[in-house]
Amino acid sequence: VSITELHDALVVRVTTTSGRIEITSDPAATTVRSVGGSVERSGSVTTVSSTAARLSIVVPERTHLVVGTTSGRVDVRGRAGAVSVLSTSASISIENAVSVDARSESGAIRIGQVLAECRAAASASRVEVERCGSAHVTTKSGRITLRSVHGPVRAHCISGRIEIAMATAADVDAETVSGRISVTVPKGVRARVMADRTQADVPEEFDCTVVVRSVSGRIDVSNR
Amino acid sequence: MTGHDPTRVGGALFTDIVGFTEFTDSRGDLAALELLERQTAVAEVVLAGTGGRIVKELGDGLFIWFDEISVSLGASIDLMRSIEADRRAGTFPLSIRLGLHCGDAMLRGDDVIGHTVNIAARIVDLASPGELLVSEHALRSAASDRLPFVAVGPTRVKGIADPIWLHRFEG
Repeated sequence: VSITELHDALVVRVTTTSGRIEITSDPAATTVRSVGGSVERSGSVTTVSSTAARLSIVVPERTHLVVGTTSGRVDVRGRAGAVSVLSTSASISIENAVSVDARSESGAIRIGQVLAECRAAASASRVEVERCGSAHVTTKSGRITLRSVHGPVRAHCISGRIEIAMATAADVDAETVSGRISVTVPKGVRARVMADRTQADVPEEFDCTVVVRSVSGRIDVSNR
Repeated sequence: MTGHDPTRVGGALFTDIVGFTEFTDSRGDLAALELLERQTAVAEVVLAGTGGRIVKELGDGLFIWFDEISVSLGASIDLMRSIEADRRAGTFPLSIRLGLHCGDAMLRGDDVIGHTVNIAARIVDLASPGELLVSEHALRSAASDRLPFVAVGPTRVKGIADPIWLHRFEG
């Protein structure tokens, strides 16, 4: 997806208070269709508002989505554009997007594939990301699992565990107060490892820098 | 009554040190005190000449008020960058997050109160470590078209009918 395509893409803003939101990016769709909400269009921005218990929206593929809801569940299916979801307690599931910014104070966040940056923030619930470019993920006590990261990572957690599997040589900045940190880098990648700014493992030449800090949690950095 | 109008229009910025309680538990009160003093010192340097002032310290966070909305955004960005630079250099051990809103508020002695302040306090709760979130109203008021902000989404705040749209600084 080129930058030009991104800027020209549709933007759909969705506002609800609770209930289930299902958004499907359909390669065959050319317009925004909604069941359970009112739709307003202004230029390239379409706004869907709803108080219904269930809201279903179909959008063209790679449409940008900005979603706000208090509670319930948000499911984004298909190949979306830049996706932002902000919620107090909804669980969030995003299958495929160009970029993601997903936040829920008490709902779990599951993200499939993200081409570019993946940002996610939760509190006590877990955050799972299958594959992404760069990542910026934070929780308070929820576990963070990043299974295949292709760009720089910043992960922050207070008492939960952080697991990061790098798919390429990129910098990692992972921080907990009491949670365990586990970082794996691909076989053959030479990582300069710094724990609490102390260089723990410094090869003469290195491909990336892994900064890991934990006040009391265990730290593991290894090659797969 | 003095006849003095306590109403002000300006920007309310809240900061929060992420993980401060656990840090204090692990490192002790002295380290925590040094951290708070470091945050305040950085903020005072950033605020010098902006018209912004630290209204009060709230636990591990700061409540900062700007009389000029136009400078509040730039100063908030500067504060975030300064603390992040210290964090990367290892001189500030934790991350901070920031939330900015603007609008009417009331002076009460040295304190500033009102809905604008309450909303800013809510916004900072939604920010991630090392992140500045601002309301759409603050963005528009500060005429910040050239700054890199990305829409995060709408959030509901108790007592306000319409959702507050939030934006993240991407710099």
